Amino acid sequence: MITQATVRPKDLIENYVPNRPIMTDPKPITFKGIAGAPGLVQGPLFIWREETLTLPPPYHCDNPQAAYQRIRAAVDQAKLELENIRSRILVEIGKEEAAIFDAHLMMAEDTSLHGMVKADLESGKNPEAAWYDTCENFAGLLAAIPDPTLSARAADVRDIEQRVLRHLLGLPPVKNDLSRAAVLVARDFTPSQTATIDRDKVLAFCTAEGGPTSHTAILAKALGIPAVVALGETVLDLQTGQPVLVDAFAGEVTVNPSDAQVVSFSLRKQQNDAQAGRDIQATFEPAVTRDGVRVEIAANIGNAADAESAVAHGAEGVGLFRTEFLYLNSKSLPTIDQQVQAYRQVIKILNGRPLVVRTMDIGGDKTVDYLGIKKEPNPFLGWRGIRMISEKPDLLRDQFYALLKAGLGTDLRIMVPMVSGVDEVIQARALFEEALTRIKDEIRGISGEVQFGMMVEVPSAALMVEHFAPYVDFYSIGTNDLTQYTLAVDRMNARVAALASAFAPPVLKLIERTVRVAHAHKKWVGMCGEFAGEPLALPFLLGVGLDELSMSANSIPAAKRMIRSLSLEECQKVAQQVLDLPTVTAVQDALKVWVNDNRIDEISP
Amino acid sequence: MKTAEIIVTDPVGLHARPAAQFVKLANEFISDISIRNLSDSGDWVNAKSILSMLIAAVKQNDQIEIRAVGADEQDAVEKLTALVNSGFSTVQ
Repeated sequence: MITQATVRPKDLIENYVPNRPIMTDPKPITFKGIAGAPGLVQGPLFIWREETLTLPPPYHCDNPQAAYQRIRAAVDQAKLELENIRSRILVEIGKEEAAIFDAHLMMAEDTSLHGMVKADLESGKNPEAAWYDTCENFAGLLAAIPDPTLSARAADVRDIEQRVLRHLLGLPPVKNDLSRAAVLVARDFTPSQTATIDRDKVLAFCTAEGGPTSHTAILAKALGIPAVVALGETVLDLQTGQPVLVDAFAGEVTVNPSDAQVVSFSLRKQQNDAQAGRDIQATFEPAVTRDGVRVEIAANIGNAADAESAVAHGAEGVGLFRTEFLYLNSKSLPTIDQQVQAYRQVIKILNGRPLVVRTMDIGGDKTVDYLGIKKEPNPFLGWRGIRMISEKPDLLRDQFYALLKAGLGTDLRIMVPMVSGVDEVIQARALFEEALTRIKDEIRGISGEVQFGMMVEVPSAALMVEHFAPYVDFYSIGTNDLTQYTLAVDRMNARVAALASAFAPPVLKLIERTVRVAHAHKKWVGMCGEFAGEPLALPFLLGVGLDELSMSANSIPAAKRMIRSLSLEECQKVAQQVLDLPTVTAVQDALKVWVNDNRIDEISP
Repeated sequence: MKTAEIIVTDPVGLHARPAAQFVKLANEFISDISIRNLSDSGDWVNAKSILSMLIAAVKQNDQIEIRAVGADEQDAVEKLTALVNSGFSTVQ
């Protein structure tokens, strides 16, 4: 028999009962992190718990019938939840998405699955292990099928496995239920969590880990939600409901603020909101320097909603359309038609503005069964971006084809990511030409030019710009990766993330070289990293001659304001000066002094 | 025991929706029903289990064998064959 003493679910869960000291001190405490996405926010705190389900140690079970009854009850509860989710999705999203849960419901009742579970119970296995082992067995068999659509079903089985296990262990079914808008605190958020979270309920993202260019920061910036990252482990000991002030400009989070702190914070917030209001009014005007040079300001986007936000913030085009979401939000390879539809949607929103699309850049920091992407110990040095080309050329060929089908005849430009050698670009260009020929054969009378470009984000590419020139029409510098690869800093690692500054002189030198050499070969150069929207970097970026700057939509109004107060000629001088400085601090200090001396208005209009 | 051999012409094979329809229909009979993918491993799998059917990985143009044993075996094989031949549209 199973006794209460044998299974004590709460003991089985790591971190279920907080065993660390809880900070209940009402005195204000300020945590210092790194600014991820700008903004000032005040509100209650919410601790986002990542629970790890832990199986009890195996025990012998003498009553298989009673054990099966426990599983039966857990399955029924799980099904009830699934049906609720299903009907909600049906109303809020659509029939196609709701069908995912039909499949889940069917799997939960699967006769082979239940048969194997019963056999395990007959042999004396405990119900938690019988359920887990059987589900894992099926998930493993499915994952091993070469067909990507089928192997992706493994994730469905694991979803049910976890859901039922949670009930078997007697855990509350709903977690992280945001009943009111709050400042979310977590170790870190996955991109899908950040993207699918109820945006109306999130005042700010605060993470213990991550760096200024982690996915949380990038997505938060795109969503216009303030974020502070790398706050350290101790923030996880805070409690849901504590009042908090988030200064995502300074990268500070203050818990239990004093009245005086709240008053001065509110005042700053008012001033900040007023400035943002003035900026947004001026953002639809072009960014022209005092000496009459126009700089093209574009936005980085990841989907159609971002494209709308880009247009609303005065973007003159899109300098980086990340296409990963198309693949990461799907359980199987998106069809060409699905891709075409997604690209057309963005093209339509941009209404004639130039669109630079980056082909998929997914690596081993995520697992994507149907693409054959497995977790890697060193994902940023692994099988990602253009490196897929030799093993899976069809993926890229299909993406080129879908893009051309959607956008030939519009101002579409396509670039490939993670280039480290010339051969990769030659191969990619051949696939691109192949797709172009195919589309022109298929659709009579279609014409138009599509520019083909490459990302410069690996130092080897920056040092070889001239050798790529015969094969590309443009270059786009990705500063987040260029910084991490040049400085050998893992930008996802909070302990070293602070070292990952694009203001580092070696990074600046590679940027300068890329632009100079590209211009000598009559190619244009854009920048699509977070650095492009960094106000202090703008004098340098204009000074070295970047043709286009692409940033988060929210950064555009302030960047345009700053550019209007700059003179290209003066920027060229200061850019040359900082290139010879030895450290990040020396560069930043020199730029700050220059901005002050030249009365560049970075903060107020 | 009744058996039938058919070629699956549906473009998605017996994945996703067609697999679900097949399993749903199979569950309406009391007979034991199995299928095997003659174009692949050829192992018999339980046709009343969606997971087993998915693991059989039946693609377009694969040849499968349906086998039913029980009181309504004749009816089961006929109806399931008709479902596959209909392209999963007309039956049900």
